[in-house]
Amino acid sequence: MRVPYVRRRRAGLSELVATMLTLTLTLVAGSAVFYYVSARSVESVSLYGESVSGVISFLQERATIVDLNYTSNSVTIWIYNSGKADLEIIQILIYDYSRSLYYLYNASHVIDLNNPTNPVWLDTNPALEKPRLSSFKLSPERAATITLTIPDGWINFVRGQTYYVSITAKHGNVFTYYQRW
Amino acid sequence: MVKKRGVSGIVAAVILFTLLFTVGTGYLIAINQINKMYVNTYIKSSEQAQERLKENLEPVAMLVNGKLSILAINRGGLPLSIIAIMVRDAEGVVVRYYNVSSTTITPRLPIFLNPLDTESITTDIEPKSLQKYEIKLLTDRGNVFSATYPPVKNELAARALSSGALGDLYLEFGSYSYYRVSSNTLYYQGPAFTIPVSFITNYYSAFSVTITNLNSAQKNIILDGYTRIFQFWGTDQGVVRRATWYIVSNQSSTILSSYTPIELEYDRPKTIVFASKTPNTFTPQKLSGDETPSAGTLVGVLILTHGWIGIPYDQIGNTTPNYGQNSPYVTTLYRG
Repeated sequence: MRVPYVRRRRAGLSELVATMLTLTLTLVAGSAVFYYVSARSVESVSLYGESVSGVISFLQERATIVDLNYTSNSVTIWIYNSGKADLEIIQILIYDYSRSLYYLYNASHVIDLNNPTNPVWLDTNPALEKPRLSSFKLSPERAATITLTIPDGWINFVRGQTYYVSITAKHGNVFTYYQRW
Repeated sequence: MVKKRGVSGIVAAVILFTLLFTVGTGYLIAINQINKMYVNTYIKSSEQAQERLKENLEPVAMLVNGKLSILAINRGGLPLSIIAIMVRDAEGVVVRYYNVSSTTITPRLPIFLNPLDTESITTDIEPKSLQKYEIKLLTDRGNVFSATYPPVKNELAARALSSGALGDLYLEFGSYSYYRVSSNTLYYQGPAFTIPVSFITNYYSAFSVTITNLNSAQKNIILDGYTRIFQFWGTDQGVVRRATWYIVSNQSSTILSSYTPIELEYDRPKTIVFASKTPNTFTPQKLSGDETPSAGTLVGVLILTHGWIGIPYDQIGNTTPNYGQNSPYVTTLYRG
């Protein structure tokens, strides 16, 4: 009996190479997509985290101004940290109702906002801000005083007048208080 | 030719899914944790703000034994903690700042008060005459509650109406006490709301009460020797039955033989003693049987005050008394 001839199919090398190439391309492209998407995801989470962290810090930042004690050229601010985070102060505004006295104290200057072109440098007049706002940090449930002195030649406090103090804290809260001398 | 189905599609799908799952899950978990932190902080912050609003402390400044004292009443719905007290004078100068490390305040800070709890806080400040003070109490939630000394008029009126003042004199009801008098010495027996009849007939007796001058113009009041405590009950042949104890001068528990007018300075509580049968000179008072109310009699008690108001002490000798007040006071039950 004659056995019919059957041609056996032999796998060619080119198919193997093609498969390997396809696999490699797929993996490389997939990995690239993975790392790109992963990196974007991490970046996005990080940005979102920073944003939420800022909001959390804002919510945890609370303070109470307890009292103001005046002399003719200085005011002592009694402040209590009623929040859950350290309190750091960026700037303090002091003004009267008509803004004829309108001073800004920050980490580096005292500025008369009615004449802002002539600020006083605190580095050369450190006694105007005790303690310096740049080093002021108040732990939660602690009270402290800040004494601000008006530079020579500027308008002083007048007995019987009411003055406002507005404290801007590091995370964006503003605490305002007023008291008559 | 047998065509075999390739698995590459499945492998690709699995890889794609793994990629998406890994990145997506990590992203979601991270975002979820951040959101959780935010929500927790927001809730805590809101709770803190609400608690702050619910806090209500009522401080009342007064003088106790010559020292500035603060009666603090928690009128809010939450327990609170007083962590600092600041006392300023009228010039705005901080006279004292008490905090947890201060030892000159009783009790020591912090002071915890449950709702409706009251605490009497005594400072080491002895107010100068006519000097005004503002007292600020700081709580741990950051609230500041303040009171003034001397109290402002409407505060005084509120205190008077809520407690014991009719006219100028504020009477501390709980201070009404009785004493046995031996020779010229007072022996404290207890609150005088209930007294055995036998006591009043067997012993020389005396009474005391703490009063405060709350004259709205802050004038001083000086009591003369006709000031007395007056008990009355029933009638006998149309006459009101009564017993009287006149005011006496005393040094601690010793009664002095003659009476020297007593000055009541504004808002300074003073304990006055009534022990004499006669005005101005100490004569011990013991009621005889027929002068005494029978057992089970509830007697009315009046404080009859007389003297001067708004007159310097050194000028009362030349001035006709210009003050008199009848204060309905308390009752005493004479029991068998």
